Amino acid sequence: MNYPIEILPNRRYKKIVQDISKFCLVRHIDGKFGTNELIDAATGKIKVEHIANPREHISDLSTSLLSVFKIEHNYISLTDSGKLEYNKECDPNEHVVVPIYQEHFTLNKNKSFWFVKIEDLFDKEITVELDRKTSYIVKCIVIHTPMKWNFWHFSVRWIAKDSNNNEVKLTRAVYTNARVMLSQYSFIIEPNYSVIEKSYYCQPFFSVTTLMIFYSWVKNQIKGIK
Amino acid sequence: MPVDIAQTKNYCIENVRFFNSSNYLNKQTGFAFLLEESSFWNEYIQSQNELRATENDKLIKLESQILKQLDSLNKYYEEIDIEFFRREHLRVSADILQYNPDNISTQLTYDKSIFAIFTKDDSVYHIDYYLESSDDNEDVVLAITDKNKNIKSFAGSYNYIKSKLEEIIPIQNSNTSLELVLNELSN
Repeated sequence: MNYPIEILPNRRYKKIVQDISKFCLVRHIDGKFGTNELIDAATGKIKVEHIANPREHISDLSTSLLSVFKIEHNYISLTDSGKLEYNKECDPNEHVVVPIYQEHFTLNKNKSFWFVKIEDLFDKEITVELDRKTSYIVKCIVIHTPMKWNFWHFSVRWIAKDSNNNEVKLTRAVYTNARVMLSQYSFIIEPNYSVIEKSYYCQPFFSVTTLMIFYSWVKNQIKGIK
Repeated sequence: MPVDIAQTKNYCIENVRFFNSSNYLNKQTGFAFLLEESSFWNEYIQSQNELRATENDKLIKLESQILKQLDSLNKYYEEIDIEFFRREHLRVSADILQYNPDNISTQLTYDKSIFAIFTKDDSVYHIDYYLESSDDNEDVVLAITDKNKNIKSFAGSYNYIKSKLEEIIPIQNSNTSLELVLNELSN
């Protein structure tokens, strides 16, 4: 079983900063669940226990950008030694040795998924009135955070804007609004894949640095001839 | 015959005012009035009992669902006393039912909170009731999404959240209405 190298960081890759709001993020849930178990019958929304899990907190959720990364890539399950080696953030263009089956990863198909459109979350703000006294803005940010095992890893984070207040009540208000937004917008029906332009994640073949190196090389060659 | 609670309440209050007025006995024969009142009260009490039975059914269903979930997430709720949990869950659910929601569901989160969702008139109300409070008051967060998906949110004590809800949705259901009627009667 070969590791899908298209999801690994690559020397030519760069961070995605362009507008990708039309794309969807996917997140896996441990365990194979039927619709009845995933969806709350009364509200028709995903049950909150499936939105986050105890290992990863709702205020900073791991997801992957659906495009080059396919749903089946979620079946990759890092082994303990694989986690040590690959489960860390890295530069998008870091050279990564391809993980080896059984040693670094196995496949676990016992998973379910939910999806969310980036445009439904990105930069969304909610005003929270805290104890009648103060108002804070809770904001969602979606950022590209490449991992050594997955270049297409994105983090969905929630912050209380302009606040140095670490009070528990405010933190809890952030969690709740994250839960509300995610339960509101996430869905379980597999969406259509969008094709991402290469220029969004690939550095141009001739970068300015490459051109400068090439220019000085040519200059030296000419000097040598003279 | 189904009874309109608001109408019934008004009827009751009107009658109490009339009954309290000194001229009343001169205007009606006491016996006819008693018969009329007694049939009215029977109907009223029956409708209240029906409403309570429906509410009880809903509460029992909600509790059995959440206890099932509590069982599966037991290791995250080990420190929470089960009786305390049931009491707080009942408190939140029963209060929500007073708003006559179109739908209601209660779930558990990994943050030791009861996450209640109910819908009413195109809006979705989310109440996150944290079972471990950070100070003397409960930590409760309310988030309301309207049909345009705008979200309004409030955080604070349970009473604060209840007062916010009451500003938005007037209570229409049985218990409080009955209290109002009884208060009027005693006045």
